[in-house]
Amino acid sequence: MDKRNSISTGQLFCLFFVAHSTAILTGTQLQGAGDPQALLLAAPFSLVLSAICLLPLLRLCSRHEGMSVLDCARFRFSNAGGAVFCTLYGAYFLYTPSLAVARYNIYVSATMLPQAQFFLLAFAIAATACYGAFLGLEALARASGFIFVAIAAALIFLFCALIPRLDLLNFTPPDHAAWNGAAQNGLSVFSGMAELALPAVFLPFTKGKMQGKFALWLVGEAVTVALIGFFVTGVLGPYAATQPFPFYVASTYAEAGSLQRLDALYAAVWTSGLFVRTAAFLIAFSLCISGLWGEKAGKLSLFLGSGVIFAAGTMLSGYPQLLSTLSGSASIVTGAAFFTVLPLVILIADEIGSRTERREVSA
Amino acid sequence: MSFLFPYKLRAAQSHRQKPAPAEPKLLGASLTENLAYLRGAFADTSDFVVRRVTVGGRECALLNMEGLINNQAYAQGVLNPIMNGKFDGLTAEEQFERIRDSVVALSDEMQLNNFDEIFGLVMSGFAIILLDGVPHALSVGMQGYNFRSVSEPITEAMQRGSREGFVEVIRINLSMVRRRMKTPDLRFEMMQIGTKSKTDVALCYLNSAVSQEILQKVRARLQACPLEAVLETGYLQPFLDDKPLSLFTGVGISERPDTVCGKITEGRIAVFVDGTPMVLLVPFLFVENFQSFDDYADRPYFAVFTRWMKYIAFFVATLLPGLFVAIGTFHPALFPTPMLYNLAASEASQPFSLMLEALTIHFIYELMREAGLRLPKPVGHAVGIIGGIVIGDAAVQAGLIGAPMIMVVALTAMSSFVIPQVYEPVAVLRFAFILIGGCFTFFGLMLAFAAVLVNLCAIGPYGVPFTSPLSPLRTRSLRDVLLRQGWRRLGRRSARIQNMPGSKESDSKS
Repeated sequence: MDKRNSISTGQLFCLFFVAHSTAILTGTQLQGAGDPQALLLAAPFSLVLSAICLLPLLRLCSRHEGMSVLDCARFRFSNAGGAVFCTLYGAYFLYTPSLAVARYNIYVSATMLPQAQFFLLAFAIAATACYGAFLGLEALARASGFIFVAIAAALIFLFCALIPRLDLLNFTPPDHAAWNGAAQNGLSVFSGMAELALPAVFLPFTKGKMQGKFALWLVGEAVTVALIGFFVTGVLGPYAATQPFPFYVASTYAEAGSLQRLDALYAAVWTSGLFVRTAAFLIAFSLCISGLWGEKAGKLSLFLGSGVIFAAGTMLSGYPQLLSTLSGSASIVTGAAFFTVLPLVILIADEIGSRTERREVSA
Repeated sequence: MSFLFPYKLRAAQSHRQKPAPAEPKLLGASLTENLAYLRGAFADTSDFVVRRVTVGGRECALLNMEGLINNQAYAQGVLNPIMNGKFDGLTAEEQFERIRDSVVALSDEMQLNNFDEIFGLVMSGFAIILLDGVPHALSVGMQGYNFRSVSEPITEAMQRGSREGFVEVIRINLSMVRRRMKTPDLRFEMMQIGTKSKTDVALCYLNSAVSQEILQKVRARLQACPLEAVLETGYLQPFLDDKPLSLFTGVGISERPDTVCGKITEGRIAVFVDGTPMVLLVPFLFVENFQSFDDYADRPYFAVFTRWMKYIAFFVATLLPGLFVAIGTFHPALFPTPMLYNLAASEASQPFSLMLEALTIHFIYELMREAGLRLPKPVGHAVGIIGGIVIGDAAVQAGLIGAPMIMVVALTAMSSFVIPQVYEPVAVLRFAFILIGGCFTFFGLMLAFAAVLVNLCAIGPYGVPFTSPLSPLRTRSLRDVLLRQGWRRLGRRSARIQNMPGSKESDSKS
């Protein structure tokens, strides 16, 4: 772990934003057959939920500066207990990109390339992400800076191109169903925010003050979700409820002069975001393995991890129903467990442990 | 996390141990023995010239290498004064001192005590004087070999600014820098690299601007270089590069003295190699590939315009053919409708797929470029004309290549000429992206581009991020990257390379 303090908090949250862009663009899927405005209203809900859920993790890291959540677990639960946390987090860090790869496969085959081979796409993603992870967190974070600018520019361009397609009649005062849908969609957006688990292992690699950048990231995410919800509602209206990728469908309506199909921009954004997400989770996975079996094993685990993502991603692509379940209610449970519950368990153990130590010292 | 940095050569370089140098053999008092040793060392060498004369009743030998000295100066400055000098009644040591202090009174002379010094200097155009009974030798600078005169640099021609470019002789190159930087802060560190070639290599830097840590690293890497011969800067470049296997390099090249002066002012180190007009610059950033000396001579608004043109040209030269192939093959609906009709009409009559077409025509273009580069200029022009006619007209007429593809190639080629410093990686990436675009569609292309981006970001020459100051970002430093502010603002604060954001060798000098 000789690369601690190698990236700034700004770079870290930039990386998170880019990685999460994949989930924002695909996860902003209307839950239930309700009012599409629920997507728009879901943004503040998910913002508050994310901020609250991350508190135990942040508290834990502030108590043990320079230590990851896994280090804290090892510190409080001995090596065996730490190994359990490493295993759990390691599994989650493979599970999340596998879902993302599968959704990407389905998106590509459903929209732009019906003849796409699932295994070929999954292989391409896993291989490039493995290479990206191999080059390290520092390089990936720097690359995220460039991709962030590209994504922001692409989204702004798309939004501008969609303005003429907005139908204000699609915006109505939100009714009871819309508010109910907001909670449901907010939970969905929150559960897709798997990057909330990454600070558990990445925080020791960052330098600089965190609170401001962290808040900026969450607000940025919420604003992006709100804007996507706004344009999906304004452009598609009730039609959005029938679409698995509503923002993609909205982007197909975008036109800018002679450029008549701006969904290529959408595809580019998603692909680069997916690359960063998969590589970031692979690095996180390798850090878990490093914690269990040392750095060499961590290095080798990148190949193993990318192999698992390839296999799981390909397999899940063939079962859209299962994928839908895993991305829906199941991911809310796993998300809550890894963003909040596990750090909270360690935090409680840490609090009890430090009280006991203090009592022993005073005695 | 050392595994995140996979290249092993750096470690191999830094750990490579050089054998301890042998003690140099000292000169003896006997001229006959000294000459016998020298003749033994230079056995069968026809250009080693020994002239034996008697001076004041004592044997004396004058040594030089044929063709390396100025014969007229040699005759007038060394041979005649020694032959006509008065040395009667002097001991051997007194006679040597008389020759050194009064007879051969030239500025560039040195007393030598061992054979290694003699070998080094005689092969650098010095005349050596040996006297019987004295265990020293006298070297006199008589360099008179032919060399190319100072002329306009071919690879970095400018509209404004100096017309001077470096030449092959290191001393002249160093003098060109010294003439522009009249400060005692400017340092030249000479060393010899190459176990056989003993090539003169000079490190040039501004002592107050350079990072001592970076300087130490550069010095150590050069001293650890195990090559037998160093004949060009390219021989040393991999030893200075942090990631020699990467597509992009953290070592810059220039043949302009003004560019080198500008770079060392920012804390960089220039590495001069005798025998080549090219100078290496370390550490070098990615954005510097898009800067030229003209940028600083032009008005800021025009410099910004040309700089942005170069950034766009980089993306066009790298991505355009791959994108064209990927979209044309797999996602034709993404083209605007009129363009799609034209493309469909053109491709309907072609026998090859878009990918094969792109690969073929780019290969032919690279062939023509290479031929035009190596051949004598008039023939090179002819190759260009023939290629232009064959590809531009005949291939389209014959129905082998589509006209849109010709446009793509032309645009790509023009764009790559705008950024000659990154021609090598761009040319290779272009072929790779055509293949990826043709096999893995638009999505594969985006993934590959993202991978290249991470590769670019992983480079950190001497601890300075290659992509700095764009990522890690420092808005203040962008004034000479995305913009080129006027000298009134740009000159207020000098930027030091070691203080770039994310640098591991940061100091507080700037």
